[in-house]
Amino acid sequence: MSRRILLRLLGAIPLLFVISLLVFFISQAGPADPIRDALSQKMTAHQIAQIRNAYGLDKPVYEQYLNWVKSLFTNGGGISLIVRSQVSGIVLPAFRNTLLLVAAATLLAVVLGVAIGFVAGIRHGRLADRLTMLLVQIGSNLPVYWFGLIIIWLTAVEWGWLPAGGMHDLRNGGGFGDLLLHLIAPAFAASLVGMLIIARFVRAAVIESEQSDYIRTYRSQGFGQAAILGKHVGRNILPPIVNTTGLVIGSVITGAVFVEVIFSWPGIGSVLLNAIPGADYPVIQGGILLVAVTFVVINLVTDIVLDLLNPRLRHGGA
Amino acid sequence: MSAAAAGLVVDAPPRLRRSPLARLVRSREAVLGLVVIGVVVIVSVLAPLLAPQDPNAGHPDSVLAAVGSPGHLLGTDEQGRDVLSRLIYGGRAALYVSVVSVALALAIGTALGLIGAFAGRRTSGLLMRTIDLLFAFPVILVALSLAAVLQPGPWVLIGTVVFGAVPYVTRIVYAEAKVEREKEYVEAARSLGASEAAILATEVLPNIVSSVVIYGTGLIGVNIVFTASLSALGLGVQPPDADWGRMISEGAKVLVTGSPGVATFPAVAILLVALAFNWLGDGLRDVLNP
Repeated sequence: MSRRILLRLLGAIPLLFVISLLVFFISQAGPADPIRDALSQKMTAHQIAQIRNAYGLDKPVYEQYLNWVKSLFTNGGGISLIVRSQVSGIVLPAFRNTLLLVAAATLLAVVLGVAIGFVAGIRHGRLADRLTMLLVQIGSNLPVYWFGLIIIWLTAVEWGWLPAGGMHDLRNGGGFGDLLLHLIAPAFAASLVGMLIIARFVRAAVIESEQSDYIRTYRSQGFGQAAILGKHVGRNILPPIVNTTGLVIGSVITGAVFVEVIFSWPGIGSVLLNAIPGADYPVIQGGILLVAVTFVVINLVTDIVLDLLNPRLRHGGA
Repeated sequence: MSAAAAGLVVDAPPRLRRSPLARLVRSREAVLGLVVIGVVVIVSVLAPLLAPQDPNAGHPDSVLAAVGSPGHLLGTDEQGRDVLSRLIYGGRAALYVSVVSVALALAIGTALGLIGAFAGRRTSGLLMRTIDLLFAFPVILVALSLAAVLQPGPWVLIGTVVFGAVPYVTRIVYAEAKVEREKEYVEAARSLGASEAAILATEVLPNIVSSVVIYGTGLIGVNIVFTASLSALGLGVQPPDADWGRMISEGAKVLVTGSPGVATFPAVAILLVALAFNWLGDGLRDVLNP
């Protein structure tokens, strides 16, 4: 068991290396020369060359790569070309906000997705199931951007229940309850796609499980519906739910970036989108690397949880 | 798939012997999907003839005209541009980008899947492990990276969709090709002296093509929605060109101030087209893989 986990951890190392290479490549392949763009009007060619030297941009590519990796650990990912402060100081606080949004959205996606899937699966073929599946089909094809706008319109403008955007109420200083109020709508919008994937998946698993021989046997022996669902159907679809959740997190992260813009949530997506027009490569690279590494870690954790849930692995075995 | 497959067709129940087209036409949702897609394609192609006004020409004197006002059936946006004309033009980029990128993804994914199924153990293992790692990667990171490298535009959308879709296509082709590989007709071809490459191209590929087509059809729908969101963020189609995704983000400001149509008409268009591709894909599945 621990051997298997160790192997999984070791397997992530080449992946992280490749990701870091690709992210580093962004600044090499980009069309813009950020130093010249940012400075050329005010400086002579000699001064520009000096700055290039100060940033290490006149060194061979592999040396630049090593310097960049080193700077990630020692210098907070380098200095932003535009804001002139450490990348980590720009990227980390924004990333914390994104992580909060992603965590809330994932929680919503799992809870609501499983609930929807369970209800539809148990009522398989009846009106409730067909209505749910129609809504699932429509929801899966809604443009997230518009969906977010409609949520703002309903919850903030029409009903006045929730704030229209941002993370804190600037007037009364915030607090946890205030943060939660600001979190509900964007988290729901970001969770939609993943929630519906999980719902469809759980529905199929429940239907399959319901029709299996062993469930029929339990039923014929007079076990109640609740006991069968909770103890047997539930336990059998738990590993696939964990697995699907791991797969869905990628789309939740993507959804979160869309949602940040709509709800003015001060997250990493907004930081990256603002950095792209100015070709602020240190910020772009730092931000993308941070999210990609987080994704790899989440996947790793999912795999390990799945291993732990697998009784064949838990009781001895490979 | 010659003699052996022909024998199968004779044994099949009579329902399956109808031509695929006849069966497709009998599927209600497939027909509905085809009609919607047909209308949107025709409107997009004939946009210059159909659009009542120049989609990019603003009229400062008729800003945010209401739906149904004279000359502007669906009203105007913040710059006084005719929403109906922009809607007619706005599907062009979405269709073009989705079809091109899904075609690319299907081609690459099919090639990789076949390699995975037929290559030696080590190549296959390495390839499929890599595909597994790319599975469900947050594609927004690819979009942002490409936008930083290429500048925002249609190629950012195409690259992102291809990157996101290839792992799924590869998995499907790999799984199907592995099953086909063990079947008797492949063994028969092999015993007749056919090379592995010939078996792949003439025996296995025709048998998995239907699954690829079914998956690809649904994929076009998914990606019309997805690329619209990327364009709404400013990573895709650039202003002033009309595009459904951009129209949503441009209409965002006026959605709550009495002009919900500017953002909602393109959203409904996206929803309808995406649903249509889904329906067509489901219909094709019933016909091709009964």
